Amino acid sequence: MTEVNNTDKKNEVTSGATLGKRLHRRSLLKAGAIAAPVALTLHGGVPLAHADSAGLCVINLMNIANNPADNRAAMLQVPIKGGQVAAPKNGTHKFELLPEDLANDYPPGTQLQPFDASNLNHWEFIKDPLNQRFGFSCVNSIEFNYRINGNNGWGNGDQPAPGGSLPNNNAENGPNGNPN
Amino acid sequence: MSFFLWDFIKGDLTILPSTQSFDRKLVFHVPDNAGLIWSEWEDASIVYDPRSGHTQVLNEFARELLALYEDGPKSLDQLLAEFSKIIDAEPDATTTQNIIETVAGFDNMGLIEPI
Repeated sequence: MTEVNNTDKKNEVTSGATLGKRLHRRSLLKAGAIAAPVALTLHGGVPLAHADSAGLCVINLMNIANNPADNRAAMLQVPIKGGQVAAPKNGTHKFELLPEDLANDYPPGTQLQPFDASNLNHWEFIKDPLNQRFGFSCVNSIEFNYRINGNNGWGNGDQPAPGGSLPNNNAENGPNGNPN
Repeated sequence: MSFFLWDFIKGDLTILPSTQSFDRKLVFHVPDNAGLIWSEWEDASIVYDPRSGHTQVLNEFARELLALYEDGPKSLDQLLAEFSKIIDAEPDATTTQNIIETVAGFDNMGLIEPI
């Protein structure tokens, strides 16, 4: 079996997967908690061959972010400094109190970049649960539209645990066991 | 599940290569120049392929299968052997079939390619 270790540079660079994440993933597989592999196309690229609601949502966000005439564009500017999402100068969570991102709210050298789905940092910005403003619904669309109820492999808490084990496993049951 | 997604799934299955004729000895790898950009979520992974502009979403099962290909080139039989070691058992027929379909899907998506 392929050993999972910290020196797996290729894996770290190409996938961003951490050791802990992969070990957790393997423990789920060993426990039989994920019924089947699922791989779907969200966004079919230029031809939009596989366009769907969530994929179109991502495209829509990028269009808005790059359209200064759209009054929602300011909310989709990602503050980046040193290659990371920047924290605001007021010391609170980066998006908690700010209705929109303004360059003056961030330390000197911060760039406000229009949301780009190909940028990992931008995804981190959009999916931040404390950034529940415009754009977060798109993340919800991706996260939840792709979870099929039942034995779907997502472990999304929509089924009772096998054998009545309630929360004591990593199967489909939610935090409280979802005994229904 | 959205109407659009269901349409997509039905449509996608029609273009997947037949798993009956899948060459289990053919060695696949993740292209070195793929430049895949990953966003790892709690129970899913999203990958953007800058070569095609495609965005794919993988659940944890599929993500581990692709990670095994990232570890190094391997045939389907080798992949199944690695997977068996992870789960400490031989996968049943249904799981094996699901894995074959997923590998065919990876190939179709351009996430892996034969050497």
